[in-house]
Amino acid sequence: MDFFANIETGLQVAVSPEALLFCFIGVTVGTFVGVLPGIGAIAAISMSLPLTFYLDPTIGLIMLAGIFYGAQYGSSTAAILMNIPGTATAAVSCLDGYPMAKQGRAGVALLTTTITSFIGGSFAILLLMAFAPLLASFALEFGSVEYFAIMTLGLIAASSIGIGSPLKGFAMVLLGLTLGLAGTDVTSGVQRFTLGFFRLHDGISLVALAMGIFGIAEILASIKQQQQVSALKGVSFRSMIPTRDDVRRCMWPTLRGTMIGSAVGILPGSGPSIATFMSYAVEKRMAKEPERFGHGAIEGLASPEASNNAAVQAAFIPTLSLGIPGDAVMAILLGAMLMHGIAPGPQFIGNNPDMFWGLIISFWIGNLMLLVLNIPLIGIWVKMLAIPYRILYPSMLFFICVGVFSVNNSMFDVYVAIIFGIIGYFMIVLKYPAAPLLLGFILGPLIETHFSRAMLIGRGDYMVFVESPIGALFLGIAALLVIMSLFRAVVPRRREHRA
Amino acid sequence: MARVNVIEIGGALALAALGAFFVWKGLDYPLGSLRRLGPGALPVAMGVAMIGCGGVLMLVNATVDDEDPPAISMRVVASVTAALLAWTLLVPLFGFVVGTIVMVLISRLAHGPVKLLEPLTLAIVLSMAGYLIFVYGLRIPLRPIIW
Repeated sequence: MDFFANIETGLQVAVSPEALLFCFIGVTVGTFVGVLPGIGAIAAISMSLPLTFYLDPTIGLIMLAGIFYGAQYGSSTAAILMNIPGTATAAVSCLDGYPMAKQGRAGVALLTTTITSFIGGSFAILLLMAFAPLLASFALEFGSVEYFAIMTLGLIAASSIGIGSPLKGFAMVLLGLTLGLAGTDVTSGVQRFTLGFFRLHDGISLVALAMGIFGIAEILASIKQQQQVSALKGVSFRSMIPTRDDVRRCMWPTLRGTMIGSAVGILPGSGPSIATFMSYAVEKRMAKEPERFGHGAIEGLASPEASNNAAVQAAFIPTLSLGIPGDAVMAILLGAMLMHGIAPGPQFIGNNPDMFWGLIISFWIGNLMLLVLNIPLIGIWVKMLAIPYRILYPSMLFFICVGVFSVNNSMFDVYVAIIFGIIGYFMIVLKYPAAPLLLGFILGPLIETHFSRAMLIGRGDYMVFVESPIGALFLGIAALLVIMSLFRAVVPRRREHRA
Repeated sequence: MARVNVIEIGGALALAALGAFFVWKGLDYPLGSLRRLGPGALPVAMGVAMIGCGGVLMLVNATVDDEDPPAISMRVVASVTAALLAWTLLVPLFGFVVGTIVMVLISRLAHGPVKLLEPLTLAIVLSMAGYLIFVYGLRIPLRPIIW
C-alpha cells in the first residue's frame, strides 16, 4: 500500500547516520535548553538556524524539530524539580509536579512525564501521517479567498485563545503584520517603512526579530529574577517506579490530554501553550476530588504533558500541509524552510516526499531517543541547573550576537535584534504577548497578497469571502472566537479565582 | 482602592503612537481602491486599527486595584543594551575577542558588582568557542583580533 512505501522512504532518510546524528544533537540541545530557565525553544531554534544553512535542508529541519520537542521534555524536568518552567508550557507542570517532588515523588513525576509525553507525541505523529497528506490534497483546491480566511483564523486564534488579554494579543498581531510588510513590496516594487536604510530593502530579518524578542528580551526579564538554586539530592532509579494506583489514575487523563493536544495543535494559530493549559483545566473539572490539584495530583501532570507533546507534533500538520504556522516556533521553522528555498504549502508533500516522510520518521526516532535518554540523564540535567545565571546570560548574549550576525554577515541585523530586544522586554513587562507578533510578521506579506488577490477576483466586493463555503467557514469560526473573547472580557472571570 | 495605572497607559499610548506612525508613513504610498489595493492600503488600515486598540486599552486598563506595578529594571536594560552596542561597535574595529570581553564585562553590571577575573575568563572561553564554531567551522567573516 502507498502508506508503507511512504514509511519506507521516510526510514531511508531518517535512519541515515547524518540524520540520526543531528536528530540526537537536536533533542539533546533541546532538552538542555528546556532545562535551563531563560532560554526557550524559540531562542534555541533561532540560534541554530544559521548552522542549518550548511546542512542538507531535511537534516536541518530534523535537528530544529528535535530541539523543539526536546525542549518540551527538558522544561518539564526543570518545572518538576525546581518549580522553574523552562518554557511557557511547563508552567502547568509546576503546579502539580513540584508538589510531587516536595513529597519525595520526583522520580515518579519525571517518569510519568516522560511516558505520557511519549504517548501523546506518538499519537499525534500517527495523526500527522494520516491527516497531513489528506489535508494537503484537499487544500490544493484552495484559492486566495480560502487562504486569507485560514490565515485570518490563525491570527485571531493566536491572539484570543492564548492566555492574557485578547486585545493585547490582537494589537500584537497588527504590529507584527505591519512589520512584516516592511521592505520591498512584491506587487508594486515600492519600498515600505525602510526609513532610508538600504539594509531594510529585503524586510526586517526574521532571525534578528526572533532573537531580539524571544532571546534578548527574555534575558533582560530574567536577570533580576534568577535566584541561586539550592543543591538537589539525586533522583534514583528505584524512586521512579510508580505505584499501581498512579498508573490507574493516569490512564484517562493521558488519553484526554492527547486528544485535546492534537485537536488544539491542528488549529492554525494555536499550539502547545494553549493545549497544556486547557487540558489542566479540563482535568481539574473532571476530577472527583479537584482539591487534590495543585498539591501533587498525578493526573494534573499526566494530562498536560501528554497534551503538550501531542500539540507540538500536531502543530506540524497545518504548517507542512497548508504552509500556515500554528505557533511561534512553527513560524520560525517555516521561515527556516523558506530560507532554504522550500515553499511549504499543499504542494510541499507532493513535491518533497522524502523531506516530509523523513521528518515524520525522525519525529518517532527523536521521541524514542528522548524516552531512552531522559531516564538515565536526569542526574546530569539536575547538575546543569546549578550553573549560575551570571555565567549563562553573557554566553547567551554572545551566541545571539554572533548568530544574528552570521545570517547575513550584517551588523545591522544585530542592531535590529537589540532594538527588538528592548521592545520585547517592555512587551513582557506590560504583558503584551510576543507569539502573535511573530505569527503576524510571518503571515503579513502573505495575507496582504491573498487579500488583494481575493479582492481582485471578487471585483472589490467583500461578498467573495462569503461565497466560498470553506472561506465562509473559517471566517465564521474566527468571528466566533472574537465574540467569545468579547464575552470573556465582559463577563467577570469567576473561574480564575477558584484555583 | 483604584490607582491610575501609568505604565499600562504608557504602553497603550506607545501602541497608538506606533499606529499613527504607520498611518503617516503609509499615506506616502498610493492607497488604491478596494479592487486593486495599493501598497499603502494595509499599513494605513493596520495603523488605524492599532490606534483603536491603543485607545481601548487605555480606557480599559486605566485604573488598577492594589496590584504591584510590574518591575522594570532600567539598570538591566541600560547595561545589557550598552554591552550589546559595545559589541557591535568594537567588533569591526578591534575584532571579536576585544568586543566580547567588553560586552561580557558591561553586561555583568546588570547582575551586580563586577569582579574582574570571572567574566574575563568567561569572555575568553566564549571567544575561543565562538572562533571554533563560527569562524573556523562556519567561515563567518569575523576577525578575532584586529591590530
